[in-house]
Amino acid sequence: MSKLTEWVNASPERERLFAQEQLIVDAAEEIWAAMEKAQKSKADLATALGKSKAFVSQLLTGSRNMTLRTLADIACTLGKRPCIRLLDAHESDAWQAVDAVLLSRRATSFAEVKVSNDPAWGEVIALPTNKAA
Amino acid sequence: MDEYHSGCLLTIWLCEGAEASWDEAETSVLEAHKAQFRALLKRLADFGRLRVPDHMNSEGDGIHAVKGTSGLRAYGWFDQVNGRRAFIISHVILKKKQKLDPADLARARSRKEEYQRKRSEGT
Repeated sequence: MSKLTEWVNASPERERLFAQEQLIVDAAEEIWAAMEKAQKSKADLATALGKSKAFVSQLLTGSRNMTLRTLADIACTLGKRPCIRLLDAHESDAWQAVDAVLLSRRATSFAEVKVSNDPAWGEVIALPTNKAA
Repeated sequence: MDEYHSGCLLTIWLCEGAEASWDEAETSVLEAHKAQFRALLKRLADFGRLRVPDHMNSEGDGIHAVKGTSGLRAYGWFDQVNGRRAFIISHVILKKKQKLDPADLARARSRKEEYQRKRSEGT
């Protein structure tokens, strides 16, 4: 168990707070990635939403609560749609692991990649080799 | 160095003394802000980077700062440890001013140089 996990698991209150903050951080990071891809600045997003730049900044830092409506508006403005899924707590890293695999496959021609330290995911997942390469 | 957390893409390590500086920095910080800081570190470990400039920025000389909303800052650098990508935390502070204190950058730079010297000596 990592020091981070130990800290989070120390009390139900911490688990709850960490889950909240993780979702806020993940949402901000995903929005920023979409903004970069769409080549839109905070000011562009603010204008499209009819809000101030400070409003967008506060959403991205988590100092202002983002409603689902605002998230949908932001996604729409960026040509995206939000994807909401509720996973079991122990599955929380699974989608990230898949994401990591995809990133690794894109970045390199690794035939194998270790995707997580979670024992359940600790085994090396064999990926098909690129026959064309 | 102590391993702090291993994510999908990189492992976060703590330099000697980093944990003590972290404990000291957090003495007056709310639990929610502590949780936010750790959520940033988990995201960094899982995705290998933090894109939002309010979450992480470069301070020059290869030193980066993970930035909590409460003013918590973890200074460190990216490297490879045991063949795996790593973010090595030099120290953690509770930033009181908007501007970077040059002493914090110097402290991180000095830790990085010491780490690189030890690594080249194989110790």
